[in-house]
Amino acid sequence: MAATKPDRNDDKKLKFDGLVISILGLTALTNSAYAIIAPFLPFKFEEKGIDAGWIGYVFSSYSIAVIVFSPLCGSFIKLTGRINLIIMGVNLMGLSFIAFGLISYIEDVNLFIVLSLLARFLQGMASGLL
Amino acid sequence: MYSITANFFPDHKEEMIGYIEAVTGVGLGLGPLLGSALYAAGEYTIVGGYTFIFYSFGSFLIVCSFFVKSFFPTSIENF
Repeated sequence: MAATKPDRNDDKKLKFDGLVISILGLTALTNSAYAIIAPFLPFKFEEKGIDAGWIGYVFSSYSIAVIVFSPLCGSFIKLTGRINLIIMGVNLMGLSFIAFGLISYIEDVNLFIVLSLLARFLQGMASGLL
Repeated sequence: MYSITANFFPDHKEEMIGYIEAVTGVGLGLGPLLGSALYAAGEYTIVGGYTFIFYSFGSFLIVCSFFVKSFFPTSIENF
């Protein structure tokens, strides 16, 4: 690295200003969104009488969305700009969380599974955009 | 996130990516902790429970998105 930038100023220290703190905080927040449902989703599925195998699908639909949308993110930046893409991603993740909460009132088991897969996919899409 | 880091901190790229990886680990660790704590609290109090977690977390993220524009300088767009 040092060879490509010989005039690099090594005395300058990284300052922890608002921008750095907000980047780090947003990263922590959106990554905790991945894992926050892990402890109690199995209980909810058991309560509704759903086969435990579906928990795995619900979890991996997030990762599938990340795989699909992270490479596309680069071309989206040219259309929207960096800040707008981040705002869209955070908003989409918040909306899909609220949707996931609303879904739990649905009594029908099949509809519940499909919609929770979809909400989780939207969460992953938002995470891919960030 | 990484594209902003690479463009906005050209002198501190390596350092910032290290911090972002560390913070990713913090998020992945705190998530289940927070989730199970809130779910367990839901049995005794109003603050907690299955739907409360989703509503609170989702609305918190949406509130955060309003502050993103004020924290991130507009000169990011020029890179």
